[in-house]
Amino acid sequence: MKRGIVTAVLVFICFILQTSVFELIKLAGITPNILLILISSVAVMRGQKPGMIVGFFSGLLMDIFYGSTIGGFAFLYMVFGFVDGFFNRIYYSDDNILPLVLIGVNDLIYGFIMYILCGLLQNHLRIIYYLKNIILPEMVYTVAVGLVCYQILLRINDWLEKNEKRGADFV
Amino acid sequence: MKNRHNFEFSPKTMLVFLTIICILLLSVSAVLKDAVKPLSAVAETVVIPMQDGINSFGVWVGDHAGSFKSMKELKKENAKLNEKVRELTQENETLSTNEKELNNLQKLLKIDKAYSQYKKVGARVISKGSGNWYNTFVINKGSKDGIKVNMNVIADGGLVGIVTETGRTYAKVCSIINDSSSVSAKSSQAGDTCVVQGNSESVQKDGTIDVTYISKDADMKEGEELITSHISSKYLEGIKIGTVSKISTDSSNLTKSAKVTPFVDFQHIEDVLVITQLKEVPADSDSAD
Repeated sequence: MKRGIVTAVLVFICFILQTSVFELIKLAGITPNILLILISSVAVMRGQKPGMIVGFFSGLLMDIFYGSTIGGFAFLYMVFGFVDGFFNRIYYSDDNILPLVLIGVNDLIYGFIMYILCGLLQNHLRIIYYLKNIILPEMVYTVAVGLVCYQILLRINDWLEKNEKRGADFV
Repeated sequence: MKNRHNFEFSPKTMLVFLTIICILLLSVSAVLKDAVKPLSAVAETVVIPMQDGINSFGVWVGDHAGSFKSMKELKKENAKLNEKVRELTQENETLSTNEKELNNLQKLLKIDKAYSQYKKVGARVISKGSGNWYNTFVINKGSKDGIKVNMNVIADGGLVGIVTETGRTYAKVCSIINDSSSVSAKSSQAGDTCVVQGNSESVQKDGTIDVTYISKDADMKEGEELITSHISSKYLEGIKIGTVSKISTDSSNLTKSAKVTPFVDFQHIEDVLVITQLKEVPADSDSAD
């Protein structure tokens, strides 16, 4: 229960941060995708199902605010959560590399999908331009921000797990 | 906890389930565009105020961070701008001075035309005696430019004075408001002769100087113009002096005296014209001045 509330608040905070503060501190016109950081982190720390739920709801938020049709981002982010959840099996909580690699790869794939949806379907074929000016910078920036965000999320997760264990002891 | 796990779906079931929800949502929102509007409205009322709050905080932070970072730049820019302001102020001053000068010179040109029968040299006042009024002053033309003692000096409006001393590149001028100055004059209409005497006291009080030795029979009227007279030994004939006022009979009952307001603004003389023509009179002749 507590975990559910905390996770919902986290989704909300990340969404607001991404759409407000990070819009202001753009580097070269690029904002980091911290919702993706959250999804990757939760999925890799908690497994597929929490990853999918977080992905679904953060995508839904994105859809409600920025999409013309609801469900697209929700599906995309949910799939990210699902796939990242596989890596939960080889994850240890002191492993800092795996989540960051996942974040980077996720953002790269996200960039390509966005290129296909926004660029290719509208007849913009300059993939090199997109790669150089949007996809790669966003990936680098997201990984850099993820470096910090992941540590925060890890601390929160540890704290929640400790609480749950204590609760389980009482039961 | 363990019990609850048994009832939950596997991740794959969940993926299928959520995918179906997504597809449903997509098709619903694609077909019925208005159906999602209430949802958006609710979400917006909740989220947008928060975004606003965070944004203003972000703007505040950004502003401050930016101001620290660019302090050096700003200082540099400020110095540059100050320099520019100084430059422009100076330029502006020069321009407005130039405009004033232009006005003055245009006035002089008018005078030059009015007294076209005389040859004149333009000169600039370069220093003056103490006080606000140009009792005596120095002009920047001297004997090198053909200025000689007793040459008449005029400015916008009329007679200013007479050259009393010349150097090679400068000349001293005694103006008609100086206490020691006296000019033989006549009224422009009736032709009554009189003497205009400087009075530095009354000129400071109300801008007038004295007129004396008006014949008691003269029909000089107030408001009439005074010009230099034909019988003057130093002043050329017909130069305007000023307008007459306050005519009164002297206590001797033989003459009348009056006041004259000079045409020239003796507080602001900058450019003058020197008439390079001397009134030729025999050296031993009586002088009315």
